[in-house]
Amino acid sequence: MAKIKIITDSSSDIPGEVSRHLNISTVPIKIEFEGKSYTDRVTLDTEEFYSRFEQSESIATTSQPSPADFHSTFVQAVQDGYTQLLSVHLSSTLSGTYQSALIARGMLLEEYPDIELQVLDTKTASYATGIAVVAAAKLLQESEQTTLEDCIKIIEEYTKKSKLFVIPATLKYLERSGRISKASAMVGTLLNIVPILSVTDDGKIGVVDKVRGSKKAMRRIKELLQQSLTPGSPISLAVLHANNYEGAQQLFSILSEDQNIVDSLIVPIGPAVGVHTGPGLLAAVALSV
Amino acid sequence: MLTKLDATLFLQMITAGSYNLQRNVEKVNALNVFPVPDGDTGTNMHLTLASGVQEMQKAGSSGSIGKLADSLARGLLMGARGNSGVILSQLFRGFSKLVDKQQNFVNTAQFIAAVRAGVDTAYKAVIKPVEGTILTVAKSAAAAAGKYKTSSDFIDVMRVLLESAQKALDETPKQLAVLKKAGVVDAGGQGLVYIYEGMLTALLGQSYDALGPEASIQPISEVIDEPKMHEESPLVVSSHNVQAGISPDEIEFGYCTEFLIDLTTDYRPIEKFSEEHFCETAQTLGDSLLIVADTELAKVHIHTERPGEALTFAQRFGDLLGIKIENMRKQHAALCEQEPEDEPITNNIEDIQEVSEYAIIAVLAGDGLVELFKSLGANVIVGGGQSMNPSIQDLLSAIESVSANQVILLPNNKNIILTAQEAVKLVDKTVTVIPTVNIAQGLAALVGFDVMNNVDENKASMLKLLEQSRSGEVTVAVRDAQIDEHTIRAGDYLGLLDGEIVQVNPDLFQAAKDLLDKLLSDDADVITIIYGEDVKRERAEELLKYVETNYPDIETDIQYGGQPLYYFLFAVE
Repeated sequence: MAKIKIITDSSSDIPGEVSRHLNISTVPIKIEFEGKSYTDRVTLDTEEFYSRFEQSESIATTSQPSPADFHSTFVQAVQDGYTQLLSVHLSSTLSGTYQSALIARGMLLEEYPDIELQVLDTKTASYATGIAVVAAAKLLQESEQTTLEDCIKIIEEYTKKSKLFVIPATLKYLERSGRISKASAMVGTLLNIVPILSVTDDGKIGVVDKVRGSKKAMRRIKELLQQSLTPGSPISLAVLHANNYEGAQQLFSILSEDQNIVDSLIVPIGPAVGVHTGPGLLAAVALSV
Repeated sequence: MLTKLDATLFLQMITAGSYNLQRNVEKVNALNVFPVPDGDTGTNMHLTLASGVQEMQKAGSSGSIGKLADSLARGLLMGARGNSGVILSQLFRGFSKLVDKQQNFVNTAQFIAAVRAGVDTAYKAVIKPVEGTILTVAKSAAAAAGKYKTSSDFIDVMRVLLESAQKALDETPKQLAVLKKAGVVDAGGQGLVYIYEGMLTALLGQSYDALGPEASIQPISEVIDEPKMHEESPLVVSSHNVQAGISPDEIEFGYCTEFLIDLTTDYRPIEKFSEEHFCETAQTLGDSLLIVADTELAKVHIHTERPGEALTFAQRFGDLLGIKIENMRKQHAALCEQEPEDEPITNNIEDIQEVSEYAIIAVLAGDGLVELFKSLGANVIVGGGQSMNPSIQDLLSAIESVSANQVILLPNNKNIILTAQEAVKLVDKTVTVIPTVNIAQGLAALVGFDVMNNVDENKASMLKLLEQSRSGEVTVAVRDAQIDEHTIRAGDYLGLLDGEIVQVNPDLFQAAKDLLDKLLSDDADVITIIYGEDVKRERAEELLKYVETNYPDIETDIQYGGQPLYYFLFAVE
């Protein structure tokens, strides 16, 4: 009887309790911060990161887990008796993590040719990836009959149907790390202009709109989400924040008003993504389920 | 009996008309119902007419009256500023169209027909003609003169024109409630009456003394408040480096070619010039085609791969003057000095290739505002001068200075909208005028611009933002006035909401605070406070604190605008 193991990396921002409960393995991203190396949410926790980040003079960077890191997680799973592994990661245009996992897959299959290992590029990031991983893990937990294909299918469904919209507090970190093009970054912060970002179909970050005022931005996100959600349908909603819980609550209440939310979560964005977004960022992921 | 009007006399008539208007500029300005310090009718009409007179004087009166009328129309067209200036230019443009170019003089019947043609043209230029304005005065005068067809004496005809204009002018308070309330006649109509008065004087052979106390005619250069446009070259934003986004291989027509065609060339046979015909052929040679022509001169601007062909074609219509040819690819290479940065993980190339050929032109006064608009994406700024009254030529120069084919124009003042609409008729490019009535509206609308969208999408989003935003202006009254229930004394501070006076107070900050209270009621989310050149930053910050204290949920922003005359501008959404 095939035993399926789901693996992801820490940029998926799945809260620790959730991944423990759902038996998801998380390979940590590496963070370089103030001259030291850390492993995301292992040796550097989210709270500490944000409190030091803003005061810090130095530029923080991230690097993907090495193939060896993935390899050891894969091997551990095999030794724990899993025969089918599914490794799910953020957009390959935003990070080399997916590539690393692919290389590790090659290494593993040489040693264990009978193991099935699939690596998926979700073409999105943070909890937009996480929400799909969680859906697959829940499916696994619900029924022993769930196959690897079922898991892959639900992940693809979630990543295709879900919409992610982001209100950054500033664009400077995104621009500095090259995740947003210079042309897109040419949006002033004058006049309280707030850009609204999203991830395109091919996994890149782009500016969708710009409005004045963060309240207007939140209302605009609601409009944008409604364009893609089936009216009246049950909705799975996650509100993400980079050290901005208050903002997340505000966004959540605006988005959930008059909506049939069946599944919701407020998700703190960890250091792996936080390094690139900077603090204050708010985002929403939603899809009709 | 004066039965013939020749070029010499015509020149004298118009010059006298201009002189009389100039002497009475302040009287006309004082009739402006709106006591705000810009958009003065008298000044605008005077500057417009002065430009026409200058053009006529250059041409000289040795030729036909038809040609002289053309020079007048051309000068008026280029110098037209403000609503009243534009209408005045249209009155004379229609007039000149009907005067035969070959004739050395006209008789009264022809003159009257031409005057009526002028009225038709002026009415056509205005989308919503309002009775009780200069249009009505001109119309009544022309109609009355028409009834005088039987007289062949110019003096009779001019007298009738003047008297019926005066009568119509006196009726204007009955036609426009706002005039009645203010107890004045229409300023534009009064300006026209002064012009007719001067014209009659010339016909009577009287010297300028007959018009009243001596006032020397100032040289045009002193009179015309040259907007900054002419001192600095048009500003092209390089922070966008939109130019860098267009690779030299993408420049399809590489030579920017400009020249004038002398349509009066007569030592060899030439083809008769018609704009449509010329356009048809010229369009096959390249793009960015711009033609401004009258009966003597055609100015042509085109981007083409084969400038020689364009010149050869143009020579069919006359000799070429002022030929300028620039290799845009070489120019472009100089602009693209900025190295693309180290390739980040995100692939930028797609973004850049999609940057479309746009240019945004905004009319502004204030150095801080220029910076603000540039950082929001404006490419060219037309300096409106103290009184925000650029001429048609000023706007044309700005439009011509950009190589983009899609131009968005923000007039940023009620008085410039008509000027902008007229300027747009003269160019070949697609120019979309977003009807912003003040600078705060201009800012609000500009936020809606996205270089990735097409022109219709941009127009829609900018107009939508105009609707959703509210603008406030705080300025000083330059004259006493009674507007609705507000009694205004010169020196009082005025608060305007979306262009309407809603607040009057002898104290600047009280006027500002009261205006803010009106602006921020209901559902305001954000406000940007822009302070002008006469305000110290600390004082502006007092207003900011006022908003933050009394309206803690509203997001605020404060910027230095440096604008003259308007102490504060508020852009609210």
